[in-house]
Amino acid sequence: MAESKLILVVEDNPDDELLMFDALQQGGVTTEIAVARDGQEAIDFLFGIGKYASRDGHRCPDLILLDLQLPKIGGHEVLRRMRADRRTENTPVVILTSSAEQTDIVKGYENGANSYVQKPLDFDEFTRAVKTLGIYWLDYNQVPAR
Amino acid sequence: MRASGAKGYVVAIAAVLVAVGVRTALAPVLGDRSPFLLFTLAVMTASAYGGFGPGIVATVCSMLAGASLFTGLIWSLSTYRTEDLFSLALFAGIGTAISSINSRIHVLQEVVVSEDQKYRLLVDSVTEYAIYGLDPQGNVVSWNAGAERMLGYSAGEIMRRNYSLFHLPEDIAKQLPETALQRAAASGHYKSQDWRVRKDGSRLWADVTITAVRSSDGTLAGFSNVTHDITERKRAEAEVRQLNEELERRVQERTRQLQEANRELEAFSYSVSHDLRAPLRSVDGFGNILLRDYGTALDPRAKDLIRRMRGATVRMGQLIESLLTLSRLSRQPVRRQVVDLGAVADSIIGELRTRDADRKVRVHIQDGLTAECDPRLIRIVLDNLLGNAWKFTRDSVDPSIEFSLVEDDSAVFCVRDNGAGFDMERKDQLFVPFQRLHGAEDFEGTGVGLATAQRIIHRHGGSIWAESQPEKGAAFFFTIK
Repeated sequence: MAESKLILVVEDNPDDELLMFDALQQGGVTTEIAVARDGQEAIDFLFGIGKYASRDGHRCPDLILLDLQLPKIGGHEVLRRMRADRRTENTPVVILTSSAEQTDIVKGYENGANSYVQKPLDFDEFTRAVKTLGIYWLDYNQVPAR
Repeated sequence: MRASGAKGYVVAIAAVLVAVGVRTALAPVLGDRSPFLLFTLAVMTASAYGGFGPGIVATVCSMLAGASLFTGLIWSLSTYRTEDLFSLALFAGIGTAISSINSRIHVLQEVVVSEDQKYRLLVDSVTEYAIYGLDPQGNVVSWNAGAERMLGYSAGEIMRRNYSLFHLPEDIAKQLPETALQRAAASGHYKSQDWRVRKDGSRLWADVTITAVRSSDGTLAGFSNVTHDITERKRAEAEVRQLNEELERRVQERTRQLQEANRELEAFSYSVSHDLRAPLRSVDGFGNILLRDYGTALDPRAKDLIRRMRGATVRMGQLIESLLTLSRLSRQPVRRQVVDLGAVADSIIGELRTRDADRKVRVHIQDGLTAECDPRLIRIVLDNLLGNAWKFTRDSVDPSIEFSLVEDDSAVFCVRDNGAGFDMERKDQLFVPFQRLHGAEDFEGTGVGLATAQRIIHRHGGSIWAESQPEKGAAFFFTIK
């Protein structure tokens, strides 16, 4: 593998972010992890604009863990804009959220999410879920060559 | 009109006397020719005026007078002339015939007169309706008491005036009065509902029927106009309409408010599911990391405290989950089908037995318990009721649970147990969310189960209630409409 892999976590809650890091670490996932704290930051990061103007816009994350309740631009809208852009139309996106509302699930898939996971309340389950997601999407899943 | 009895006979005698006078005056001219000719006029007059009786009296008197005065019949029977005798007989016949015919005409006239009178009486006695006649040009030719009462004109002042007088100036400008008559003449009738104006200028909403009246040869003789004042009816109708509109408006307003409240509730439960859960996960997660990464540095008391913390987060998580379920129940539609409640109860009891394998509970489920309801929702109700019965018979000597129809009312289902029961004085709190009648140390639970069951039953149009005595068991009743 020429390049190391990259995960983008779009998460406004620093506690959840910390728990996710911990879970990925526990699962032995040593990939580089970038964090966006709101929807706007996620968009800027992905398309190399705003404060990420200097970032190489061609280096697209290999997995995006997307929360829905986000400041500025919501998770659904971030996903919609990603799918509308050639650079990110095939990037694996897993919605990882507290919501189990049908409307969110339906809208998530309509907007082109690859997977929808409700954050388990129980820490052990949460750790297991994040670990499993990391391993599956980074090690087993195949995406079209860029 | 029939002349009163005596008057007819007086006229008969008088007519005969006049005839005698005239015949006497004409005697120089007529001599003894046509002795009875003038008397036929007397008979006609008498019978025309008085009918058959006076006609016959006039005939007899005329015969006596004519025979004695103008023939020699009475005075010298020996010298009578045959032709005079013949004339007398002929006159008797003619007189009788005239009297008879005239009396028939008389009767017919009387009938016609009395029918006409009845008709007039009838029309005049109708005061709720204005009934009046118009000539072909629309001028008033007859006017009943109802018309006077309704429109304010007396018969005297309205006769020969045009009926357009009763119309609004704008209707007159549109030639409505003429059009109405033309339509009535064309099709026989014309019905309309519009404004009419009284003599004093006030208005009334009138239901009008104009009928063309034609003489026997088909020429237009005029119109009859029947007008009914329906102002009050129209006002009442308008009031009803207005009330309905007001009601409709209010319903829409309430519906809007309800939808608003529902949206708010949805937004609330959405934020509950997101925002209240996240901190819980943090508390649980960090507690877990503490135990995992620093477990060796913590003494048993510290570890116990962290475990209690984590236990509390689990309970809080359950509460949030129950609350969300409760609020979702208000929003999701009720999909009814025939459900075998006995089978549902059976499967729930099966699960309870699996979970609590060491408990021995006698369960009786009546055969043939069915209802038309949402199978998913009714399962939640029975889950709660049977789960409660299972839970609260924990300390009973011989625990038993029964699910059946109430004996004297086949529309009422009942879940009965012989468990801990509750104090009836606190029955109002049973179905209130988070109200628990037993301490958490005695019986676990979130206090949302019965509130959830009640909401589901209410959404099925039914009701739910309970009876109990402490330590003597509880019975929960519910209906499904």
